[in-house]
Amino acid sequence: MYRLATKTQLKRTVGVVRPAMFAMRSMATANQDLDVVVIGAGPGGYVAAIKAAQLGLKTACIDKRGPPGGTCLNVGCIPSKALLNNSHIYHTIKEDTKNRGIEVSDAKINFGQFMKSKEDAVNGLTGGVRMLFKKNKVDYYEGSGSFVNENTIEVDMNDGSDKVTLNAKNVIIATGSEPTTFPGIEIDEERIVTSTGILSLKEIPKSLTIIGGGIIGLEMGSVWARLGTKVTVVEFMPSIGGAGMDAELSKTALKILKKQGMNFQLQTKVMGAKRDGDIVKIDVEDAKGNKSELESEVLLVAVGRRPYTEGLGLDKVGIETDKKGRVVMDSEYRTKYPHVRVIGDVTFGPMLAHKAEDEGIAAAEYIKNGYGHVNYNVIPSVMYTHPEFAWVGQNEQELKDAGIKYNVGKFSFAANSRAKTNLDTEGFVKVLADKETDRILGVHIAGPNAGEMIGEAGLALEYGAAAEDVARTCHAHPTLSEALKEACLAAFDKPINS
Amino acid sequence: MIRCVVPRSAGNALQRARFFGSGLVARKAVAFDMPAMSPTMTEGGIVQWQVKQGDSYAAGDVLLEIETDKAQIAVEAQDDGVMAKILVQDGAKEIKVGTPIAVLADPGDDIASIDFDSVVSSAEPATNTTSEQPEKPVQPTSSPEPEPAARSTPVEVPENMVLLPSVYRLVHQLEVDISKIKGTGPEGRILKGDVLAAAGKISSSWPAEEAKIIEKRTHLDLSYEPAPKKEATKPKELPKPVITQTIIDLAALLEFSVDQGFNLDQTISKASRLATRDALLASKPKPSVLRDRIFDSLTAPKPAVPFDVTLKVLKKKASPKALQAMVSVPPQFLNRGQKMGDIYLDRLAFYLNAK
Ligand SMILES: Cc1cc2nc3c(=O)[nH]c(=O)nc-3n(C[C@H](O)[C@H](O)[C@H](O)COP(=O)(O)OP(=O)(O)OC[C@H]3O[C@@H](n4cnc5c(N)ncnc54)[C@H](O)[C@@H]3O)c2cc1C
Repeated sequence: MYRLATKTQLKRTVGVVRPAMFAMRSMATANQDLDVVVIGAGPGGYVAAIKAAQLGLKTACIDKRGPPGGTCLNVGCIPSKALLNNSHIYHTIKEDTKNRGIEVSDAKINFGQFMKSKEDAVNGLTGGVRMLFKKNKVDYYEGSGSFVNENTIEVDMNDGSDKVTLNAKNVIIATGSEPTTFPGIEIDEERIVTSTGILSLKEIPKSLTIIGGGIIGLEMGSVWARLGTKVTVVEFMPSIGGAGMDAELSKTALKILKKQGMNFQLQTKVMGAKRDGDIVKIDVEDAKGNKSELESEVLLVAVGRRPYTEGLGLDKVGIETDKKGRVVMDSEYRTKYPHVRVIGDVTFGPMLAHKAEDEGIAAAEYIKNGYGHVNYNVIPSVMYTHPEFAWVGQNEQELKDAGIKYNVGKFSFAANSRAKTNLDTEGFVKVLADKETDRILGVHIAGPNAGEMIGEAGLALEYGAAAEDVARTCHAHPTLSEALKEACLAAFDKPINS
Repeated sequence: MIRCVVPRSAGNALQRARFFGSGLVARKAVAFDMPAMSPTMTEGGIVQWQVKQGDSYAAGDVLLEIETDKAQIAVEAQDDGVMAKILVQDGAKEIKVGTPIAVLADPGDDIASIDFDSVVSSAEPATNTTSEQPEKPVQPTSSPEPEPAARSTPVEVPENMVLLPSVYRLVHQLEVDISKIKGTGPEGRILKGDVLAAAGKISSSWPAEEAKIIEKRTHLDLSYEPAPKKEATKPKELPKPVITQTIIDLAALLEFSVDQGFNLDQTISKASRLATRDALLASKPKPSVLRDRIFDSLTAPKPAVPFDVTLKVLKKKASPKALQAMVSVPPQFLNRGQKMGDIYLDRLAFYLNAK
C-alpha cells in the first residue's frame, strides 16, 4: 500500500521512476499514523497485530525476515515438526510396518524432496499469515524497525526502497530470540550449526554431535537418528529435557531415546570445538575431569536461546533490558512507557510460541480494553519426539519445594486399549493432585500424542478441576485420552483397567 | 466500598447477579429486587438511592447503595434504563433479599402506562426465604471482606448453578449447604476441596492456602537483575581513522622545473586533483545501461571522497626536496577508502615525477 504512495510521490517530483533511485534516496517519505505498530511478526507479533486489527485498531506489523511467522514458522516449531513427522513415517516404514503386515520393499529417502516437503509446510503457513494480514487489514512492512523516539518507528525496508516512518500511539515489541552461542565455537551454519542450520542440512550427515540435551537438541537428534545419522548428545547436567521437565519424564525420555539409538554423554562439559575440513572436532571433559575429543561431520550447538533486540534502538528511548537481555516490563506487558509493550521470547517467561501468542492477544486487549489474561500456571510444554513428552502445571520437585502434599495417579499406555491397538504403548500419564483437596496440580505425559492430550489437562487446571472431575468426565473409547481419565481415577481412587 | 453490577431486569437479582452479562431479552418494566451481594446475605438496608424517580440512567451508573452486615455496596446498572418507581426509600433497613425495591423501565417507555401492581406481584418471590439467619447488627460502613459480586449463591443448589462433578457428588453425599461455601477456585468457583473443607473432612484453611500458592504461579516472575552498566564514565573511544603516508622525492621534479613561473604549490595541488580523480575513477562501477548521464549529473549526488589528504613539503636547508603525503581514511569509509587512498598516493607520485 505504502509502496504505491511512494511511487506516485516520486513521479510527481522527478517525473521518472528509475530503479537506481530507490537505493540512492534514503530520506523517509511515507508517514503513517497508526494506533498500533508491532515490531516482529513471529507468533507473538503477528497474533498481536491481527488481534489489534480485529479490535478495530489501525495496525501495522514489521518484520525484517521477509516472510512473516518469526522463528516459529520459518526456523523453529514448524520446520522442526515437519522433519520430525516425516522422519517418523520413514522410520516406521523401515522398522515397524512389517510387524503390522505391511511390507514395503525399498523405502528410501529422497533428500531433496524430503527437505522440500518441509519448505512447503513453511511456505504454506507463512503465506497464510500474509493472507491473514490482508484479510484483517494489517499493513505488513518487510524491513527492520527501530525506535526514533517512543512514538516513532522507522522501517529500513528490505528491498532498499525509501525508509518508512510510522507514528504509533502504541508499540508492541515482539522481536523474539536467537540461538545462544557457545563461547569459543564459531558457527558457520554448515558444519557447526545452530537450530537454524540443522533444519537445512545439504545431506544426511554420517555423524552429528549435539551440545545441549534440551528439547530442541533432542528433537533434532531424533530427526537425524531416524535417517541413519550417528547422534551423540553432550549435556552438562546429569539429566536431559531441560529444567522444567519432571524427573520421571526425563528419565523415561533418556531410556527411550537411548533405545532408539541416540548416544548420551551426560555431566560432560564441552571445552571447545573446531572445524577441520569436513569434520568437526569437539573437546569434552567428563565429570571426573577426563578429557577426550569427539569427531563428527556436523556439530549442533543447542544451548538455549536469548532475547533479541539488536538494531531496535532501545537505548535511544531508554527502554531497559536486564542481565539476560530480556526487555523489562510489568504485569501488563508495559515497558517504562505505558504505550510501549513487549511480549514473547524477548521478555520474561518460557520461550514458547503459544505463550507468545497468548501474550499477543492479551497485549492487544490491554490496549483496547485495559484488560487481558494469560495464566502462566497453565502453559503446556511439549517435546515432539516419539513418543511425545508433554506437561503442564507443577512437577513433583516443584510440589515438594512448595511443601504441598500430593497424590500420584499414574496410568501406563501399556494398559490403554487404543495404545495397545496401535502397537504403540511406550509411556504413561502421571497426574499430580493435592492429597487433601484432590485439585489437579500438574499432569505429565510420556506417550503417543501426548502433545494433543495435554490440552485437556490444561483445561482441567484452568478451571481448578479435581482429579475426580476429570475421572467423572466421559472420555471416548478407545482413545489414548482414557489413559488421562484413568490416571485421574488412580489419583483419588483406583483405576479400572490396571 | 464495593461496586457490583446488577442487571436491569433484576427480577430475581439473587440468581441473575451471577450472570450479569447474560443479555436478557425481557424488555418490559420489571421489578428490581433487593439483591444478594454475598452468599450469606439474607437482608440489607438501603443507604441511598443515587437516581431519582423518573431519572434515566446508563449502564454502569450507580443505582443505589445498600448495606449488608459486612459492607456497604454500590449497585451498578447493567443496562440503560429509567427509574420508573422507587418502592422502598432511603434509610430502610432489614429488607429481605428478593423483596421488590423499585421498578425499572426501558429508555423511552411510557412510565405513566406501567401497571406497577402487576409488575411487582409478578416478580418471583425471594428464593432464600428458608434461611432464618440470626439477626446481626448492621455495620453501616464496616471494612468489607471483598467478595466477588458473581458469588451470590442461595441456600439450595440453584438450578442454574453448574457444579463440578466432584462437588455435585459431595454436596449430596455429605449433605453440605452449598450456600455457605466460599469457592476458592478460579473466579470463585466452588471446588471439591471447598466442600471437603466445609464438611470438616480436611483442614478448613488449606483450600484457600493452596489457591493462594496457585494464584501466585499464574503470574510471571518479573524480578530481574539489571544489566551491567555500560562503563559510561570512560570517555567513549571513537573509532580512529586509518592513516597511510609516503614521502615523495621532489628532486626530479625540481630539476626539470627551473623555468620561470613555476609554482611548486600549484603543481602539487594539480597533481593531487588528478590523483583524486584517478582514485575515484578506478573504483567506479560499470555504468548501467539504464543510466542517463545528463539525468544523473542533475540528480545524483557528487561522489564523496572517502579519504582526507594532508600534503606537506619537507624543507631541507631551505630548498624543498621532498613531499610528505598523508592519506587519512575516516572509519565510516574504511572498506573502500583504504584502497582508493592507496591508489591516490600511487598516482600522486606518478604525476609529480612525470613532469
Ligand atoms: C528449532 C526450534 C523449534 C521450536 N519448537 C517449538 C515448539 O515446538 N513449540 C513452541 O512453542 N516453541 C518452539 N520454539 C520456540 C518458538 O519458536 C519461539 O518461542 C517463538 O517463535 C517466539 O515467538 P516471538 O513472536 O516471541 O518471536 P520470534 O518468533 O523469534 O519472532 C520475532 C521476529 O521479529 C523479527 N525482528 C526482530 N527484530 C526486528 C526488528 N528490529 N525489526 C523488524 N523485525 C524484527 C525477527 O525477524 C523475527 O521474525 C522452537 C524454536 C526453535 C528454534
